[in-house]
Amino acid sequence: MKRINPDIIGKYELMTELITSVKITNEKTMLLVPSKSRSDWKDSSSATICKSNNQELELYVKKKVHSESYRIFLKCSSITHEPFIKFDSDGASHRNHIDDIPLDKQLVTTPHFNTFNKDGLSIAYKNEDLENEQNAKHIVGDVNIGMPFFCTHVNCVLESGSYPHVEDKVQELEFFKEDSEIINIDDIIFE
Amino acid sequence: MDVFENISDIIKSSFCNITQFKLKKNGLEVITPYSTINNKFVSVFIAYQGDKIVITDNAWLSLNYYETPIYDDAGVIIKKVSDAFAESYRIKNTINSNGLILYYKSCKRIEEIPSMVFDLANFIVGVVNSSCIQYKDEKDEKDTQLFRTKANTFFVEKFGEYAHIREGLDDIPSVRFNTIIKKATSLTLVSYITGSTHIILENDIRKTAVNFELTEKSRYRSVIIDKISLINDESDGYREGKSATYLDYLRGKMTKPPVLWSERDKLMEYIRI
Repeated sequence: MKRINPDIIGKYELMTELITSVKITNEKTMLLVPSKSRSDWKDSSSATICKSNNQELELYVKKKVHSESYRIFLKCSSITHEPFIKFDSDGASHRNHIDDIPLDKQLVTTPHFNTFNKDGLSIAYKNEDLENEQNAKHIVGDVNIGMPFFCTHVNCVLESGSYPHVEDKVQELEFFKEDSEIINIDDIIFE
Repeated sequence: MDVFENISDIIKSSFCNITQFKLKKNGLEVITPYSTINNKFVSVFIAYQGDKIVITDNAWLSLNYYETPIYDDAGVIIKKVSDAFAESYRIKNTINSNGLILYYKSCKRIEEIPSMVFDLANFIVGVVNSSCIQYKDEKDEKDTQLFRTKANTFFVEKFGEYAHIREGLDDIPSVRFNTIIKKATSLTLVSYITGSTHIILENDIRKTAVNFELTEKSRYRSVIIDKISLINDESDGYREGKSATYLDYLRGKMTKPPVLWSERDKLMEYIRI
C-alpha cells in the first residue's frame, strides 16, 4: 500500500499554483492554544487567501507542548483535508516511494518539507537551507525562525509584507522542557 | 556470474547506505532501513545508563511521530497486535517523565546492540503498520450512519418529543436502542437493522434479537409494550427472502413483525401516541 491521496489527482495543477502564487495571510500574531485533537500539541491558524485565484486557505502552526518541535503547513479544504505542503522540524524520516529513485536516495531525514506529486504520493524534500546543517539547526530551534522560512518558501506574507509572529503564552516550567537533541532517559528505571 | 556479484554488491551497499545516524547530545539516533506502509523510516535511539545500554523508541509511538491515522474502535485490535509483537521481539516498556510510554530493549555489551536494534525496529514497523489499517468497512460505516440519520429524522418528525434517540434502559447499561418511544406509562423499543453486506446485516439481526431478549429481565419489562425492528431494505446487504432463520428467531423476540424501511408508514399503526 503506497500512501496515495486520491484528492490530489486532477487537482495537482491547482495545488502547485497554491504553493507558488502570492498568498496573503491575516493574523499578525498567531497565538498558540492547546490543540483540540491532541493534548501534547498547541496550535493556531490564520485565514489566508491566494491572490491569483481567490482560493481560501488556512496557514497552521503546531508546536509540541514540552519542546521546540513544530510543524507549519497550509491546508485548503476544497483540495484535500490533509495539509498540501508542510514543514516538519523533526520526527521520522520520510520514504519517497518511487521505484526510479535508488533505495538509499529514497530516505529524506527531518527537517524536511512534505507535499504530493501529481500521482497523489506523499513526497518529502529539503531545500538549500535545509541541506545546510548550520542553517537547518537555526530553523528547527525556533518556531519564529521557522515561520518566515516556511512563508518565504511558499510565498505567503501579511498584507504589510512581513510574516506572522508565533506567540506561546503558556510557557512551560524549564523542568518539563524537552530537547529533541537529547535522548532523555534520566530518572527512568530500565530492567 | 559477474552480473550477480554486481547485483549483490548494489543491494548490499544500498541497504547499508540507507541506514543513517544522527548524533544527539547524549546518544545516537539510528534511522533504520525499515519503512512503514505510510512511508516513514523507523528510528531507534541508543543511550547509556551507567553500564547499561538502552535502545528505545524515544516515545515516538506514543507521540504519534509516525503519523498514523486514528480510527475509532481500532484501539483493541492495535493493543492485541502490539502485545503480540512485543512478546515475540521481547520488547519492554516503561513510562517517561512526561507520562509517555517508552518501548525499549537493554543490553550490556556493544556486540548485542545490532540484534536489539533489529528487534525494536521490527516491533515498531509492526505496530505502525497495524495502526495504518482501517479495520472497519468505511462504506458500511457511512451507509449505517446515513440510514440512522434518515430513520432518526423519521421518528422525530412523526413522534416528536416522544421519540428518544439512542437511549437505553438503566438496568442494562451496555445496550442502546436506536429509538425509544416514551409515553407516561409505556415504552416502545425500536432497533434498526442495516448492513452494506449480507453478513453485516445478519449480524445486526442477531444483535437486535439479543438486545430484545435482554430486556426480558429488565425491571421495565411490564411497561415495554412493543419491541420493533426496522430493516433497511435499501441497503446492499438486504436480500428479500434471505436470512429466514435469523428473522424467524428475531420474530420470537418481538411483539410486531419486522418493518421494512420502504413500508415505514406501518410504524404509525403499530405505535400510537
